[in-house]
Amino acid sequence: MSEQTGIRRTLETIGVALLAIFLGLLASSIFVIIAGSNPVDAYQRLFCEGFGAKGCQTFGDLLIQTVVDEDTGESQAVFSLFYGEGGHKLALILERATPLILTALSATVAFKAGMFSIGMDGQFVLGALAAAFLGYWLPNQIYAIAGITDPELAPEGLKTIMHILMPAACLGAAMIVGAFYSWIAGFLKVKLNINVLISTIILNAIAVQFVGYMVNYPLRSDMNNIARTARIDDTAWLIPFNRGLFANADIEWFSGSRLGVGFIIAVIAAILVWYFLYRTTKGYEQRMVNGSPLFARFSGIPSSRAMLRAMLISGALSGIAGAIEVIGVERRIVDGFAGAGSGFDGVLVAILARESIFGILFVAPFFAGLEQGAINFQFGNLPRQLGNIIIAFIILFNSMEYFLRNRIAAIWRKRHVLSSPAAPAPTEASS
Amino acid sequence: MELRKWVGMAALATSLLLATSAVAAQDTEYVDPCLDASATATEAPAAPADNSDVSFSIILPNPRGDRSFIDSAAAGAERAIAELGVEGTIVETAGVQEHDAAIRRAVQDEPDLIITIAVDASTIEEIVDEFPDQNFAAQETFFFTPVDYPNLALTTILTHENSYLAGIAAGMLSRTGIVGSVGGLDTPGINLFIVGFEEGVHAACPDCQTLRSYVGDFSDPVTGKEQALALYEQGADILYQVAGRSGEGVLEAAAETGNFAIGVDSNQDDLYPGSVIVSAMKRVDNAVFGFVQSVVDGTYTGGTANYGMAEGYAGLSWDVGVCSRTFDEYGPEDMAAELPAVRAAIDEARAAILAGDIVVTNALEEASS
Repeated sequence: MSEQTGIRRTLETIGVALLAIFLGLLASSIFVIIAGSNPVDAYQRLFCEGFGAKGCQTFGDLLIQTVVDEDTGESQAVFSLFYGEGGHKLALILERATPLILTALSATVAFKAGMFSIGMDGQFVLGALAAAFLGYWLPNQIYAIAGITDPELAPEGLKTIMHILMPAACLGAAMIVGAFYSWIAGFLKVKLNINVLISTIILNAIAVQFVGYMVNYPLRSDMNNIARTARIDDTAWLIPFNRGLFANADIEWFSGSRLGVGFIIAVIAAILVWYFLYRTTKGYEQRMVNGSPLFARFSGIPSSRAMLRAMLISGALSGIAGAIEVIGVERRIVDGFAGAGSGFDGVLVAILARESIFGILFVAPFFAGLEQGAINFQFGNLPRQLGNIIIAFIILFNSMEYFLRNRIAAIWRKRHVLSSPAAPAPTEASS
Repeated sequence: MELRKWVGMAALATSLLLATSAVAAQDTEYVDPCLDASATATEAPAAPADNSDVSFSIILPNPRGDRSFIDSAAAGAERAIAELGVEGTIVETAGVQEHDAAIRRAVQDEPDLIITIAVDASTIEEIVDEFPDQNFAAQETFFFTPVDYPNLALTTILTHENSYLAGIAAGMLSRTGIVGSVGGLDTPGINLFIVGFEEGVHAACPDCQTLRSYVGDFSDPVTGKEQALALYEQGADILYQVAGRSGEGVLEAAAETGNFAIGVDSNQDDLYPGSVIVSAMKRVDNAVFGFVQSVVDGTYTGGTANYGMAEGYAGLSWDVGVCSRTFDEYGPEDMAAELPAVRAAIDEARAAILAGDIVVTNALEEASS
């Protein structure tokens, strides 16, 4: 594939995505009108609530916003992406997108190896449970061994070491737990040829119920009316930017958001996964298994091993997502906690991003923004159900990608029938 | 077997005796305030005041339609918007996972007050601490260690007194002399209801026996029903449910076995007409309205406050304002005939409690002292 067609394909993908969003908005207008609202107002509200800065009212405000200075009364135009007064919504969105990026990567790694695993939910909650338990249990053990009764009085040196080791231990344990849980489904597929989709659905149910039991009974920390585990020790906390790195810089952009190191981990994970899948032999093996396991085996690729490896990596990524949600955001598991559902949303993100690694980095925040925008619809006194209908339509039209692309390609061919011999037929996208 | 029968008959006799004596003691005819035309006449709604410069947001813990405190809270917010003329935003969330983000989003709008309903204590504490310039109010949130923030108003609705009144009704209407309670969890917050109720039962019927059981869960109607059936099997004929959704199973068991139950939190009399005698209500709507009122009046202060029957935050579904008369209509005739006497006794007890002549045990205070 030449450089030029690569760029053309990328542009085409973006164009198709934008067209799908537009069509989704057009279709959901019917419902907005039935609900008695003005569609344009509703969509401005949806996108401003999802992605805008404070005071965002119109589509234009998403890009450039007029801000009135409170002291002088002067108004000036600012680039709204950098206008962080009172906390930018993107900071909240990126916080929500962090687990989605990881679970979408997890789904992509599995899908690329031909394993239709949707076990991200189960691996996510088990990873979260492992991190939540170790996050308070391990530091307590260390304090007990060191003979420290009050963690506040622990020597600084010990605290510094623990600040590095504890999050690493939580993330590591979550990776192992997630990988193992995912491996079960892979093993069942490879040895007994049990459908991965079915086994992961069942495994999800088991994991979610198990975590619910653990949070409600053995690990329940108090008689709070919503069951919860004990809060993790401060040394195990992946401190958010606005409290740690930029605590003294007083950057308002991050205000109210718990965006932190977890997001950086997610981006690094995306780069590593891309490198592994497209630049290493083992990654190549995994992608080859996808098309035809039998052909791959005849070509000398150990297909069972490649599939199991894909499942292990997939599970580890979901496990990390759960751990970050606990040690980076919530610091404990509350029954029915925020991350629950990230696993399944991750599958949706992976599908919407057409299993493209870098696509995920854009689709995950977009998805999180739409979800948040729909919830926050109510701050404009619009019903939240309306927001969910709009999201559903956008996803629906995005899933019609193949149809949309072919239509456009057909129109393109007709117009340029003289200037270019033929538009490239749609082939398997390579990231 | 034989013994139980005798005990049952003795109890029946005493309760009948008590009931007749209660009626006899009532010299003047009981006037039902709800049937009194002057009390039920719809007042002309006062022109809403204009306080559109005052704004509030209320975060509901789940979507509306729970037939309990969420609907009640939303109703209170709507009443505040209508009657006080303030700007209000009612935000429904889909569950625990959205509470934090919704509150943080509400903070960005800088309303005069953000009211949260049944949001987890640690979530609230973290946010209240992070935004010292924003005023908050929390309802239906239970803190283990007392907190004191200048920007957090926390009200607890104490329900021991209205439970006591419900207990009087149960004590007077019980035929078997055995009255039970089904709680969600064995916690001070739940025992607040049950202890008050049992005191009321014993005040109306000193020989009555009280039973207790705990479901261990607030969202398990199946287990709630089984425990209710077990208590009915032991001879109880009226059960007080304090078990959230699990309690719906108790009401169902009452309807199935032809026994009776007492509802809790919201007006549950109509869920199983004729089986639910009365409901001990928590007026979350009044609490929400009170929060908004305090901002309009400029009397908002942080801190913890307890409200109960005296402030109108707790009461019965029979009270003026709700005026549920479902049991009069659908209940057995002999019991319905006794209701005026029961109401007279309850009014008397209510006056005595408010005057301080009767002191109902507060299980929450006992637990913390």
